[in-house]
Amino acid sequence: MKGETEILETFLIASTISPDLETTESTDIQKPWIVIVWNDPINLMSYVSFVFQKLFGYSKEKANKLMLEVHNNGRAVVSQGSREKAEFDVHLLHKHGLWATLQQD
Amino acid sequence: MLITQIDSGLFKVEIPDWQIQIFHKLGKELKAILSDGNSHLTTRLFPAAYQSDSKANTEYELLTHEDLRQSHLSSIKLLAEISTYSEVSESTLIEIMQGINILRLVLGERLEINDENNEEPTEFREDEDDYNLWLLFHLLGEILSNIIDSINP
Repeated sequence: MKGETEILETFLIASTISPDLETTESTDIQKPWIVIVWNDPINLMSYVSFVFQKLFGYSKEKANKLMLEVHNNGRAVVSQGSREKAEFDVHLLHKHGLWATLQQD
Repeated sequence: MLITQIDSGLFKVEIPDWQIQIFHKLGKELKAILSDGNSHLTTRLFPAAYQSDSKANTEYELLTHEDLRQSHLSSIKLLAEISTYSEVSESTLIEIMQGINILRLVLGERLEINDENNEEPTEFREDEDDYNLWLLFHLLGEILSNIIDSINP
């Protein structure tokens, strides 16, 4: 997919120049950011599972489990890490049409 | 659409003319909608990343919105050009899937599909435009399912 490297670089650069972000990261450094995928009535279950496998390298079993968690519970945490990584993952999920958000755990 | 794996990472694509025409027509309409940028039909294509932090979300959108829009346009363009491909790589096939999924998201928004009414088109009469859109929505779902089954058996 085009532009993903550039976008990640943009996130990383933004994180080094944003005073707000620096403050947030220094005070909450222990808390990872989580990426949540929310249930929606349009995306096919098989498509959601496929996207999890392709984007995160999850096995079919793990991807199906997460997909069912989204379907049954309304949401699932699909990845976590630094704020930049979470924003990057959310961006990839949005490119694939999934409803994803990030928040600090 | 029939997808057959012919080699590792390479797929043969066979698609009937009537499906090519559907992709052309829907792709053209969606390109216009995406270029306009003000349609509520694209709501699902640009979801908020931060649910409870509008400032962070605004900053995030400044960074990503145009790249996301270009990604959607690229997928739609590829879908419109599908008749020119007889063999495609897995990455191209995935981008085609993204294009089909985008069309479904917009149709779903147009049809106001939600958790309560996504099973049967009981509200539509067969002579209504929305009934045809409903059939189209499900056709795209079938095509998407077929591609997933082919690429990820």
